[in-house]
Amino acid sequence: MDVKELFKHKQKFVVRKMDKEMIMVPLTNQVADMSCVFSMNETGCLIWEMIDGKNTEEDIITYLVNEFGIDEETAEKDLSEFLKKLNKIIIPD
Amino acid sequence: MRTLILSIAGYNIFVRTEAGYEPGLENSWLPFQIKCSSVVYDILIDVKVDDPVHYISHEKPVFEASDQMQKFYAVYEVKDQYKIIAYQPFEKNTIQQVAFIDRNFSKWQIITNRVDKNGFVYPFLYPLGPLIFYYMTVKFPLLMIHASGVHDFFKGRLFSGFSGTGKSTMAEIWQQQGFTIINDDRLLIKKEQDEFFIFNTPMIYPDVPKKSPLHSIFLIEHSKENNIRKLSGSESMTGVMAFCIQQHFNKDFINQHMEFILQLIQKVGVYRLGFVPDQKVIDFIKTHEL
Repeated sequence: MDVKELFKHKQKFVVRKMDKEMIMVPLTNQVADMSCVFSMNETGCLIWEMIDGKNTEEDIITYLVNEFGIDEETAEKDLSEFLKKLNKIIIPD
Repeated sequence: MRTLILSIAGYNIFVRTEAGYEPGLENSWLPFQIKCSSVVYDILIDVKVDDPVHYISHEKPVFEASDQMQKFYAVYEVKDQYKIIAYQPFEKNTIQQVAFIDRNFSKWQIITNRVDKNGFVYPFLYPLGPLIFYYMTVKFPLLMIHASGVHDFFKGRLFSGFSGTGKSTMAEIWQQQGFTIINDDRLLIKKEQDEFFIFNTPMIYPDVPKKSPLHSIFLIEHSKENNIRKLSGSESMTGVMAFCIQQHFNKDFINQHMEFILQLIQKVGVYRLGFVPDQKVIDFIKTHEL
């Protein structure tokens, strides 16, 4: 699932910021698995905020490179891991 | 009309039946019944004797608890109410009770045909009985958690974790030292003024109502040696939330519980505890908790 597709699923999460981290709880119509509450680090928070239906993966990578002074490869990896994590927990329509 | 009043975590649940019937309680619920001349209540439960099958419908549930073998219960949104269909445990998909709850979670109607020969009607069967406690947590400053809880005359402590990580074992270790087990499986955490307390609720076995102040929460696992680490804010939030009894179909419920946990972890320390199941862990905890 790419970031534009992922935007449609954002409303399926309840999120709350704590310090620089973010707690995410996916909505579900079944008894939740005990491990279904997630926390995201600062990078994850920024990526989450940038998923607005307009930004592309390239836009997010460019932003991460500029914001954190990391190289493109690292930014790409961070985004990829973030998406992988979300893809595991998103329940398809 | 016959009535009775239960006190759960300090909240009064007023139960009444229609004429000709009397509300009945399973043995384990009896100690929670209180004598009270006042009719001031926090939750009102009307019990109607009828075949619950008449109240089934074919909407899609907003929440369903089931496994591969059977359904346990399903929640529906019906106009200005929630409806719960509770199924008979161990009997595949046989409807046991139906309940309607107003959106303020203060008024329940329970439909049941579980009546004995003396006219006692039993509304608090499993799984509907404990579900009433869950819905109290979305109305009042409460949280329900899978945990054991103990009180050592000074402090109250909760031990939570996955099945098999030692919740009951830990409770027994404290009991062997003469301390009180509040409960070894399920507890309500309540905020009163600025303090947090734990309460037991009716289980399948009889016990008297118990209450303890809460000072620390331990997320436990068996280990080759005792070790402890105080968790950060976000670790505490995710750790406690993971073991709370929740229905994640409603954003308001989740937000309310998150807000509660946020306040809780500001007052109550949350720790990751690896432990060896013997008496030494008691001193280890007392030495290392802040």
